[in-house]
Amino acid sequence: MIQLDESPQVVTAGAAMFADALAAQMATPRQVNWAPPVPGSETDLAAIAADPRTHLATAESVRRLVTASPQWVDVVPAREALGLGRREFLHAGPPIDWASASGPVRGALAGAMIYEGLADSFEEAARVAASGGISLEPCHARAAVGPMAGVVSASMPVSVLEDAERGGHAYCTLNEGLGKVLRYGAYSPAVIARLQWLERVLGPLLSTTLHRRGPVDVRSIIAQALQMGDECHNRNRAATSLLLREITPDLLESGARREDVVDAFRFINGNDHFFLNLSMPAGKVAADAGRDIPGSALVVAMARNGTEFGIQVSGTGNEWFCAPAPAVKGLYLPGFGPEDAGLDIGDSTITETTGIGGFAMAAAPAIVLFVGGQVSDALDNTLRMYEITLAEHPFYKVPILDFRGTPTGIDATLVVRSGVLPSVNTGIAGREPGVGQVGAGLVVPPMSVFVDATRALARRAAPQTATPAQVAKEPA
Amino acid sequence: MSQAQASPAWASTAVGDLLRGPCQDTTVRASTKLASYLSVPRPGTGTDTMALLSEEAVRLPIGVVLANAELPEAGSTVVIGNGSIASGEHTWRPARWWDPRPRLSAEDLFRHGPELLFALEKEPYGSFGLPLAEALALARALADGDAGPALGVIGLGPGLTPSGDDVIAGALAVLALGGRLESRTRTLIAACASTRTTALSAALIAAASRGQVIPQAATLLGALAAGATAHRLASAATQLFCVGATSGHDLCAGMAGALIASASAPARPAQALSSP
Amino acid sequence: MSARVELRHGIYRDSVVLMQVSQAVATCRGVRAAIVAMATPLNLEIYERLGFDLAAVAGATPNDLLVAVEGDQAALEAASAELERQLAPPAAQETHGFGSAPAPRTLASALRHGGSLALISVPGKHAFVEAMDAVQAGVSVMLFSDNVPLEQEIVLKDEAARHGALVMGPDCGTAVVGGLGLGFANALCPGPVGIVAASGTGAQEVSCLLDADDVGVTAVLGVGGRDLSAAVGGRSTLAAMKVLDKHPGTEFVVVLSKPPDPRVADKVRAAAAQLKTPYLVAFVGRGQEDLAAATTRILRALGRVPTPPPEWPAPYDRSPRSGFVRGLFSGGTLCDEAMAIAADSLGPIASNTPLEPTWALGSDLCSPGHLMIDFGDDRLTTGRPHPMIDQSLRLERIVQEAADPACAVLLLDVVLGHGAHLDPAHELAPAIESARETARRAGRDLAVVVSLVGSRSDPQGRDSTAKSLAAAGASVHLSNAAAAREAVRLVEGADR
Repeated sequence: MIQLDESPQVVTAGAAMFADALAAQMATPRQVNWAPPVPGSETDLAAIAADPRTHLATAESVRRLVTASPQWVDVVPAREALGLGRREFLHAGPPIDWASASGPVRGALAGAMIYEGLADSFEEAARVAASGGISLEPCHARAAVGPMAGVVSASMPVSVLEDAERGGHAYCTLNEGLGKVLRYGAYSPAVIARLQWLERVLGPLLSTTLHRRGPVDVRSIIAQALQMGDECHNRNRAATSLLLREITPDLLESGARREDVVDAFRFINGNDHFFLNLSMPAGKVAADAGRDIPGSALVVAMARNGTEFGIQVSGTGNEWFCAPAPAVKGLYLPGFGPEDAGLDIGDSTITETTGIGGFAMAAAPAIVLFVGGQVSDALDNTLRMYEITLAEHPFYKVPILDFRGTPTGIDATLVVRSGVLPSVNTGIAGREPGVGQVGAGLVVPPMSVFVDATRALARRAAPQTATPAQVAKEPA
Repeated sequence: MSQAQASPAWASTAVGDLLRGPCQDTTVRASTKLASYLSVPRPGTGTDTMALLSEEAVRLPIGVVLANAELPEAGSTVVIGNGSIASGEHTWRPARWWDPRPRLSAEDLFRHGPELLFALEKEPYGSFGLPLAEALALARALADGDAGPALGVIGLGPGLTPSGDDVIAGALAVLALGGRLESRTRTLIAACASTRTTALSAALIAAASRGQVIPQAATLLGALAAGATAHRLASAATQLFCVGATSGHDLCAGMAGALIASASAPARPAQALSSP
Repeated sequence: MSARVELRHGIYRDSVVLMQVSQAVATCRGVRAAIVAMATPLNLEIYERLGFDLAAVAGATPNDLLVAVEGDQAALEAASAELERQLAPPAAQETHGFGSAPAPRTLASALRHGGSLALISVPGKHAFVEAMDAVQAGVSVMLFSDNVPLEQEIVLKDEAARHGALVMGPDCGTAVVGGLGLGFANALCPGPVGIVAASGTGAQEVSCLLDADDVGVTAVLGVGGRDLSAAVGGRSTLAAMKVLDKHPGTEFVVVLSKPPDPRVADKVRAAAAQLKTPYLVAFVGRGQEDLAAATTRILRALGRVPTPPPEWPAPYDRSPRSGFVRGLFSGGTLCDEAMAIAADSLGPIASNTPLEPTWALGSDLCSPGHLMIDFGDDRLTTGRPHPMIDQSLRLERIVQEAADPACAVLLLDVVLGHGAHLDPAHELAPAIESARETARRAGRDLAVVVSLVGSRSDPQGRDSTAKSLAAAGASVHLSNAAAAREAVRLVEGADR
């Protein structure tokens, strides 16, 4: 209760004259740099604040998110892990159909259809897809995530991650490497051949290795990598190296053919982003742990399909809140420019959703070489994200901030109130299928998706705001 | 007359009369980085001491905290009175006041008092200016009406406030707040202090005998009286221990000694100093 | 002569700051007209009235900053430079090591770094969300904002009770906690009296009268203008009374308000009777004792000998004269108390906040007989600073009344303290002199009576303000009731 004998530590929000009057009494307060929320959102925000479930529900869902403990336990074909039929394909981002899909997604779907033997060429694949010959679903709907186009088909091997804390699972394909790969919409014979090698050689090899070794603690690798200059979305080099160290002895003792083992090493070693396909499902495991708590404003998914940017919120279940995907602002690889760029794409924003990636930029200042800006921007980025998050991650710590935990757990209402949008580091895909990566940069989601999510939460708010009948009632 | 040129100050009500009274010249007797000490002539004989404090200084009960202060140097003249403090080009007017005498129930204080000892017992030997056992004994003696041990240590030791003086101040404050300070004890101590210790220390002892203490001590006593948890008490005690080199510990020891003695003894009917 | 009009996004400043910016830009040499304000419908009207083209700001929303300046080229440049200077963002607050942390944007974020009291003055429709951040963290709130929906006030206060926090407000302008004045509050000494107030100026009057007799307060806990309504039922009032009762240093509890809903009044009296601490419940109004009398009772209950509140008599002839009393107030309760006292002897007192509905003033705020205006009333403060900060409306009215032969006595309140105008006497004293001079040239002796609310430590200087106004020809009284009675005495008994 209010303390009368001590000088209060005052925090002001609103007109400066109140802070000035306190300063004149030698009690300069801390001031909130307050500005009104997005116009029109105030009624929804009030309804959510008045909902007696909000505070505890949001806190509980965040708690589950930050205490999740993702472990890499196996690699199995998608048809087993995800129950995918031959004509069923998953993709990154919110739901989309062939007609609205972007170049990279179409290219990736075509490539996957060729790989599964449903077509011989891009044109044939396009015909089949356009006429309803395949079914499409977001990866997110099947507890999976996919980088860039994120296409998953039945025969592809997927990593299986398990939450040691609460038992949930998440899945992701193996990272194919850089350059012309399926996830950037390439579908050439070389791409298909690589997919086949992953299916026949690397997948089973990793599976055997994991069975020998036991689960790999992915959370631990992320925590260490953050202290080595990775942020585990756009920089995964240290994490990939740490991962390789973890599995080397059991990989060597797997009993597989020597050439396969050597090829596996060369493959992983040549791909600085191999770990991305583990950091992403690690995020998915954590985010899903916080799902589906009624009244919670926690953002549990941020994802793009190259056409739209979508988010999901714990308290609104499987509803997607979407808006046209933004363009990425960044640096281009030699020979490429903004005219070559596709729109923002991929499920990799699951990293920012769970406190790493762009939110941990302060741990990875070298990233400004790829995404642009200065080192101070990297620090500012992370610091700004504390405004819209609910927790400081208990395991992911940033050395230069005195080992402060990364800003984790985005509250959709805080985004709408503060005007601060989640900051994402991302690669830029070529607009045409098969071009590959053309650059890297920073992007923020459109504000409207958070406004829409807030509105949906408000509509579901428990009717505990004082009704006229309650208003007339005597207080207890 | 525009009041706008003055800077704000935060003043103890104990010096309210001096600040609101007629203007008078005072001399800075000593100054440190954190405080300047004024010698204020008292009508008749003797002088009072008032402290001009920087915002980082401990808030002494005889003090005024000055905003944006370049504290006046030793030897300079400061004019106080008519609601302001003027030194050279600069004027301060109190915009805010604090009462250095905590408001609490004496009964509750004495009931919970012995708990204060737990906070002290864990403290390392070197944190005390006067060894804890000796401090407790001195304080108990004062509580029992025996000023002898106290008179023996007044003024001994380095610093503007010698360790023994801090112990005495702690004990006197507790007794004053509990209405159990005999005026005979108070007079004896005051007389001795006026010749044998620094003016500042004498002034703080006098303040203590009116129940006026630094805020860290007031918070701790308030917490005790309110029956706070051991955790909260420890936290409040830690704040007090941070004061000065050993002052905080010595003050606390004096308070604890007097509390333990008073917890067992009933209030003496005669000669008790009643609350102002 | 040309005009420069623009809309800026992403800049937000509160309305008081923008008024100062607007004025600074408008007073640049060569500027014919200027407005710098958020593009609300009200401000767009002002913009249009100043002669600017509405089409130039089509599509403006209230979140846009409207900047319009008209003048010659040199003036436009100067105005532009002045604008940028005024709008420059404040220095970042917390710096640690590498780069500075951005200032928090929400109370939720700010409170993560500590804080024991939130002072909220954001626009009413946004206040609830910020206040909930505070109370859910167990932090008590002073809520200056008004126009907070009733249902939100109730939810907020119930939630605060659950978390052990006190909500002072909405529409609370005055509080004193831990020796610190919050909002419009006087510099007070700590002492034995705890005040729970639905009326800010009422609490200021009582606390200043106590201060004159060297009695301080433990706290002044405002509860907001609607707490004692039937719907809210005194939630904060009852909670505040309990806080003071439990507090060892509080020896006397005072509850101050206008007369509330009768059932709530009964509830408050019943709760007061349960207190262990001696108390006084004072509902100020017709037929009730005035605040000075209430203060005298408080002093006696504390065992003090009350002295008459200070007065600074004026050099005018004190015999009754013909004409009417014209009261121009900034404090609502002070106006109410004066009207109650005056009505008893003089009959109907016209007002914008009348004691009887039939005594209501029209929108021109004029009446041939006795009148008292509360310039602090919501309807007169839309889009302008409160009269305790900005005296312009009252100063204009003083000139008007001075020229009116029917005006025999001008009754004014002057409220000092933190948050209020830094030197009200500076503008008011010349205005009083000038008004009396105008009357004298027309053969009238205009009496001016001032009710001064101030403590001995107020930054404006209580006594120096009083002397300055007395030298200008006003009689000054620390007791509002005494001032009102003086005004009545000056017209009573004379032929109308």
